[in-house]
Amino acid sequence: MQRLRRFFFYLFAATYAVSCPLILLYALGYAFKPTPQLQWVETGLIHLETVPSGAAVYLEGKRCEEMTPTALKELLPGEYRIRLELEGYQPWERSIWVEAKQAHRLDEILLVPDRLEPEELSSHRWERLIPVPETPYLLLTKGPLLKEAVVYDRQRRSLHPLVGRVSPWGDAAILSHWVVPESAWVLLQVRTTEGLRWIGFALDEEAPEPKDLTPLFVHPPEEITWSPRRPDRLFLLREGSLDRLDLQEMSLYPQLAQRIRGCGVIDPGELLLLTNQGRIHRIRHTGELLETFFEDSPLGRELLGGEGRFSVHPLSGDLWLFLGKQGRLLTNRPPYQLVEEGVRGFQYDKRRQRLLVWTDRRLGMVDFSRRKAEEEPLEEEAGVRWVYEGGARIRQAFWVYQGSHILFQDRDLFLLLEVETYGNPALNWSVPQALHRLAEAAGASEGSYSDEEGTLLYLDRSQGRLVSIPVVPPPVAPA
Amino acid sequence: MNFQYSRYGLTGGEKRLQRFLEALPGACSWAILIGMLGLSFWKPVWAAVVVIAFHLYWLLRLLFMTLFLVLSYIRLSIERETDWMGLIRALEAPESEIPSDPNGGRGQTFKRRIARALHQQELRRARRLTGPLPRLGEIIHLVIFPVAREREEIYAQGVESLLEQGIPLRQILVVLAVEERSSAEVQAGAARLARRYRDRFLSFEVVVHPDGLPGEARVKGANATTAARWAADHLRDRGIPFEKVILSCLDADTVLSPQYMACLTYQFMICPDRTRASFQPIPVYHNNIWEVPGFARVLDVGSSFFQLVEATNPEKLVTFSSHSMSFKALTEVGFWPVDMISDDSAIFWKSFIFYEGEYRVVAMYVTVSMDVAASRSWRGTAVNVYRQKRRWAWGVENLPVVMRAFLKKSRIPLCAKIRHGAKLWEGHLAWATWPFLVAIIGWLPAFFVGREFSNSVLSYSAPRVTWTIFHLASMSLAITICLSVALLPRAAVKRPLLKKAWHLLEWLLVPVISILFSAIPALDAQTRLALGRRMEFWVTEKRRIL
Repeated sequence: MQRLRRFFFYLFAATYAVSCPLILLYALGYAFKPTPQLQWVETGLIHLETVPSGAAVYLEGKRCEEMTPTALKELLPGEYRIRLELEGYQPWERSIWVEAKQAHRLDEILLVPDRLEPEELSSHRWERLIPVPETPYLLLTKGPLLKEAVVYDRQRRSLHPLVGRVSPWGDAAILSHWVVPESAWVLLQVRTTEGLRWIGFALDEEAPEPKDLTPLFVHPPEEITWSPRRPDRLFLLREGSLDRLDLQEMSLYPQLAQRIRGCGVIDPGELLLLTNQGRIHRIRHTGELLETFFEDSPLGRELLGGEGRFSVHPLSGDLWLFLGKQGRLLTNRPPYQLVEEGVRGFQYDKRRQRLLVWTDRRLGMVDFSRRKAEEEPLEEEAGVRWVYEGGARIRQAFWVYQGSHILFQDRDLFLLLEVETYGNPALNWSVPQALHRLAEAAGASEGSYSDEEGTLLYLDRSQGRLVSIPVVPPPVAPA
Repeated sequence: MNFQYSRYGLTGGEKRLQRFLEALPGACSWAILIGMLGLSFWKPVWAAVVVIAFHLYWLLRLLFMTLFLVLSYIRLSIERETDWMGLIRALEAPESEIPSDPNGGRGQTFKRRIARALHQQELRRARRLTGPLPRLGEIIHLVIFPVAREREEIYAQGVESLLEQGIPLRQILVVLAVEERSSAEVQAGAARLARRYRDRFLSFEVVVHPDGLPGEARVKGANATTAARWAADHLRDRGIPFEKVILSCLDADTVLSPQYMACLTYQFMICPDRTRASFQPIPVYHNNIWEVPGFARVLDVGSSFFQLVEATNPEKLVTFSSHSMSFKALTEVGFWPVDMISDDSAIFWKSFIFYEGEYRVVAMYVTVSMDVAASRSWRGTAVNVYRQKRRWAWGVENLPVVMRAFLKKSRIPLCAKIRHGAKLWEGHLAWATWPFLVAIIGWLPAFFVGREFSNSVLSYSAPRVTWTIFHLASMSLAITICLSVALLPRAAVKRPLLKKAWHLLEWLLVPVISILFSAIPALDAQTRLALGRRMEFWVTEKRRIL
């Protein structure tokens, strides 16, 4: 046994001595090339993952054995033309510059179908689609009256009227609506024979009953907001004064704060207020002051200007956005100003800490994860990277498939822009390659996109029907 | 070699050296763990490279150990059917070989053919020894059971297992070494047992170890030493030469397999330097293996497997737990250390140093069964098991003493010093760090990865290489699981097969068990030693359904 043990010890030791350096070299990206002369060369790799998977891979025009997801390994440094083909889908093609010991991960390639066949969800003709962001609900209207409005539930794929047939509210005309992302509560200003009225609906109820809130609205507010988790607490901003409405008690708590230019809800019990002096207060919903930021009010005044209202949007515990009436977009992190004017909207990807911003003509991204990690100096200019500048009237935009793509509506067109590889010096990203046209919507109507389902709902141009198209091909579900 | 095998009574440079060497294992273990943590955070590329190299080394070690585990287990299963008394008779018969059917007419199976071939070789080698072989009738077995708090029922089973040994009982001298500080109930139980069995053996005595003797700690070695000193006087009075006496110092819960004494006698007889040898059986924990929680079962089966692997490397084998040795050697080296907890391994090192490397351990492929450190509750068992493993890991206290001895001029061959020293160091460091490195720290480079690393080929390849290594390692786990099922006794429950099947799943807990009940106790022990905190001896609670 002793001799046998000694034999195997030396055998295993030799195996380790030989295999360990080989494995390490392989892991580091070295490959052994016997030609033209024996040598170790540094290589790189390209990792490809598509949705759907199973696409054929062509490297420099030659078909590879593997199909996606796969990695093309032991590539000598240089430029490679990659083409992915899958039946029924448009080919995907890029030039990639491979560097030694570098791995290029293209993990979120969405293949766009050759033909997108919309699925009809409702055969009625609708005039308008009002999305309730980050909820499964949307409102559809055939006309201006409440009785002409219905609620569509994406999860149940069902339609039901907003008000009952015999409801006294049926003939009220919708003037304005307010929604808050993630909240199933909708607030409407309507005109009835008795004048202006305010009613609220909880869309997640089986048969939502309109709640008449008119007695609480003493004066028309300029801005209304609430927390998705406490829709029974509304906060109204009017002429620099903040009021709170308690819908359970049906009470008005006027003037919680004054000389206010903007407010935003942090959580059900706290708000951020932007004062006329450029300070930011954190207060309880009862009005009690908890904390003050931007004590250096000259800085606040300089940033925020002397006048004008800002909407305040707490994106996370320590990241806030301020959107002015003229579209000026500011944040509480240096260098504070992101866009000087023209911002129409934004969407924040919490997981990746990236902000999507759009104006009429441009789409841009801000990567807050990198900004925090790398502690960019105070003097540096705004970190918006404008990825698209060819728009005419961009109305809404969404992050798609783990933030690798942007779905946006430019006038009546829905377009999909791939941004996963944007900014990667190894890939020659260009708008013509990255942009795909998906659908045409009816007139002034918006769309509703759900990244959980990967589908876009909109009113089709020809007949105004509610239809759905898959933006992210099934069966893969995005995160 | 004249060397005081103790950490006490040192002065000047020796004391400083001792203290430095005590701190070193713990410092090294923590340096490895913290170093890898830091490297993963600050230099994830380097850390990933180190991790790959370590995982590959770990895999090859695992496969190597598995190979020898299988071979050792096969040897164990072969030797289970060996008629040791038949071999002894063959040894004593002047001209004969092993009888053609030494197993009493049970036929020539493949295993028996191998056993026969093995033992024929041994017989030929034994016959070539210079000097006469001791005869069976001359050999006396001195069996010492140190008792501190154990109930009579615990060690009674061990005593009763002596009755089933194949050798004449009149050649067995049994001593119950009882602590003076034991309760009256314990002392009464020992006395009762002695009265019951005195007439069956050569003698059956109870020796009380006085409490608080100067220079002694509250350790099992001190108790056993008192009993051994008494036995030395007793044997001297009877005119029995020590070179014909084999000592077996057995833990109180030890139950010997029926073949133990015969195997021991045979191994003693054929051993070339029998008075400079210890004899190490394979410890198993079958007394209450099915009454304990799964994690305890997995742990102690793992301990048995470790000893099985160690048995294949007698050059580096160190005694552990219940074992036997030449009584002459014990008396010459000055008995067990009376101030060290790990008396089982310490006596080997003491002998090795005393005889300047001319001391060996003979592996015996026969089992001794002990208790798993169980308790009434699951939590209590976890605590007991933790404490027991920490006490085993306290064997690191030998390292500084052995290193000091090795650093002195002696006739211990340099290669022996290097061999044993390297094994000691590597063994203790691996015990405390490998489970962490394999289960947790190895994955950290990917966790702390920065953008630079995440775009490298290494960040792509490293997890895949690691997964491949782990898949190969799972082969080893599968083999271990199969062997554990084969090794375990039949469960005395309603559905024994179901119990064994459930045991297969318990092995999936190995990553967690190895950290909680192996690495952490080892780190605990090494840290205590490094900080100069002594461990009071805590007699492991044993609980068994009788």
